[in-house]
Amino acid sequence: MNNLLLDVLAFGAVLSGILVITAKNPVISVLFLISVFINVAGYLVLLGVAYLGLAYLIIYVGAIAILFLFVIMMLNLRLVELIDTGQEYTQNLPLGAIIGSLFFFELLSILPLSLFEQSGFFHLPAFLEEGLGIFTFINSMVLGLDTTAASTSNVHVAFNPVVADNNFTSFLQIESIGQGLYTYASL
Amino acid sequence: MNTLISVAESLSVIIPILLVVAFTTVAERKTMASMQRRLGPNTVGYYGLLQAFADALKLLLKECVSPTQSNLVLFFLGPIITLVFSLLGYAVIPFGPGLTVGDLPLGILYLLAVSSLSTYGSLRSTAQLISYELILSSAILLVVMFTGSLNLSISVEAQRVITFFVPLLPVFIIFFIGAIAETNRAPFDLAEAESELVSGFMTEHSAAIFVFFFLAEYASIVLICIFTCILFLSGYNSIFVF
Repeated sequence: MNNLLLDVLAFGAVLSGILVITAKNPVISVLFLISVFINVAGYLVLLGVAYLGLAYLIIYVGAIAILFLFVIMMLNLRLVELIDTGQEYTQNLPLGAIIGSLFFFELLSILPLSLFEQSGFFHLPAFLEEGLGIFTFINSMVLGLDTTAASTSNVHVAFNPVVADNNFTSFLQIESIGQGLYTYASL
Repeated sequence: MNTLISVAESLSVIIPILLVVAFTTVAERKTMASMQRRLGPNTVGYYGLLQAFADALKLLLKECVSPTQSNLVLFFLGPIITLVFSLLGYAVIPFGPGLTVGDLPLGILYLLAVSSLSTYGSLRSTAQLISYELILSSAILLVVMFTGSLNLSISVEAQRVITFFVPLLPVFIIFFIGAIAETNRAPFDLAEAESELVSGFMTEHSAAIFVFFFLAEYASIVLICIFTCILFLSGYNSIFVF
């Protein structure tokens, strides 16, 4: 695996994704969407699944993006109006910030922050660790769980309830991979 | 040294293909002319064989006109994309036992992906192209079921027993019709229509950019003919090779 090329393709995909939503001309927008698909297809080929990469090219670029282009051809867009609308981006910035913060809230409440402890180079100060527990607290309040326990497993329990009638046993992710490999695959 | 060999490999495929394209244009004009009871080009070389090179020289020296209101990036990107992806399809064609630029195990899938990408250069002819891609893919799928592999060399070698033209004659006819539709040839040449419109969707491009469209169109015609021959008429083991 060529690590530099993987990083370049991933960066190219993210950059093209950002340019899809910020480009004013809709045809340029669709072209950057095609660039996202091509970058991701290259990434898949480098990972060794050449069939998936080529299938991405055929299906996403060859069918779905063409569909988008045809829709844009059929719409009666005037470029002057689009460029005028572009000047009004800053009006909607607070709404965008609110919706974006919802995304960060969900991520912060589920990601285990002990990641930083284990890597050894970054230690969260104690007050921040306490402070981020506020997301767990809010989640427990919203989902009607026990608000005194200070652990992130509350959120997992709410979304994937382990009750006796639909669960015989519950595995961690590594355990389930091992169980599949050693039981069904003949390792 | 390895880079030099790779470049030499690619050039030894691309340059003959471009020469084939050049002489195909002359052959087409002389054939159409003899169907219309006239002579085609017969001045430039012996029997007019060098007409294509005279055309290329004229087109390269013309003034390059582009519309003022057009998006210049897209205007120049269209023919470039079309030519690049038409020529990229020649990377998996076996010209002999083991003689490919790249012997991919997923060669047919690569050809389909490249032909999907080359539709973006000329969007006005794309509606017809994508509707016939489904039929082409189904016919290819039948051949792949016979050989069990997407590799083009294996597809040729599997026809040592019997060429797939014999058991799959109806599929060959369907694939042939789909191939004519895919490359905008008559009777599917509504997008181009050389005798009615000036040049169809290529009218506004001029000079060097027009050469790209021209080369791309004939290169894709030759590519799909080669592909038909590999799938159904046993490629380099064909009885037509002597």
